[in-house]
Amino acid sequence: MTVPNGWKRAGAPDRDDVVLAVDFEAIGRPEASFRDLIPAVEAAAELWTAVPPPVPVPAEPFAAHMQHWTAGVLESGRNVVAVLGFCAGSVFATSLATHLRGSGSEEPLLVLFDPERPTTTTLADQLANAGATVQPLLTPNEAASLDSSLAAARATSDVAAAATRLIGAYDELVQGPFLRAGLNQRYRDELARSFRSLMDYLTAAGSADFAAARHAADVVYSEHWPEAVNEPATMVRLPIEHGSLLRSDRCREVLSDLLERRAAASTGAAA
Amino acid sequence: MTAFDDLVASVLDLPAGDVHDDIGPATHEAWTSLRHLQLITAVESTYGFEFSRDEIRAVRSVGDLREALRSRGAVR
Repeated sequence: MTVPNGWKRAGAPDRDDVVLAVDFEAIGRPEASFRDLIPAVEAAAELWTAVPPPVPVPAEPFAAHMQHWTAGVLESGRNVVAVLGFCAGSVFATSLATHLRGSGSEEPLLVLFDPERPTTTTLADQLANAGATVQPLLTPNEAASLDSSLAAARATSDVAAAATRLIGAYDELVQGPFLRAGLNQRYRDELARSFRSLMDYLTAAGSADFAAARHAADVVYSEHWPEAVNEPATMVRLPIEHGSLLRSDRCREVLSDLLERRAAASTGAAA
Repeated sequence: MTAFDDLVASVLDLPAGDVHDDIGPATHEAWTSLRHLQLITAVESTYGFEFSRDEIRAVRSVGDLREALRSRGAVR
């Protein structure tokens, strides 16, 4: 069966039911991803991972992202049994679950992993990480410009303004140190496009009213992640560091158990 | 030791004997987004083809990269 625009099927199984997963998987990122949770999902459903909208997204970035992800799912007519979110993706996942419930579909399970509503610090950290990869290649002027952009972004609470500043600073990295590191135009363009897409994604999530979202969530936290959801349906804290959370056996077990319980409840309700 | 291992070792600044399929961004700190694309570029240049955008993102380890080359008949 085909997968609608805005989603990509992870893993091979062809199932009637679908689990949606929202995350932003940047090139070469060290953190685990929802692809690591395929074994927990594939017995019951297909896993569809979110593909971000093309850049630049229109004004109202949160609405643009939601439109990008909801339209195809609703048109597909597929039964969404669960919506998963990782970090900032939890903001979108919560809204998706609420939207699907409101559209008359069966109420999906909502599972959030280390949920976070991004701030300007979150955005600035992305540029800082990129800058660290080319630190030895930075000229003094480039290093000063990078520091200035990071400080300006962290000093404001306006995520959209911070994103604009950070995108400009990243483009300077692409045209300077990334060029000197030997990356060809194709891959410098890919990095610039990917960073722009990440900033759009984080800006959208940061502009949403996550605290006001109303959909009972099961929340899984890594060892030190701060609590970010009021009154979760269930909450599990695992002794695992954030970057490894989604690839851990315990996390797979928790998700498998939640999906099994959801399936049993659904079967019971239908009987 | 293979030519592929030598290539990976040179990009990731590792002794060639230390290259194994589980090395990736999660296990090797030096595997950054920049190194990821340098590795992809080096492989493309050496073996004479281009990866698709999806393939570039799907690679998460030396083993994934080796498998992508195997699927093209570039390595055994």
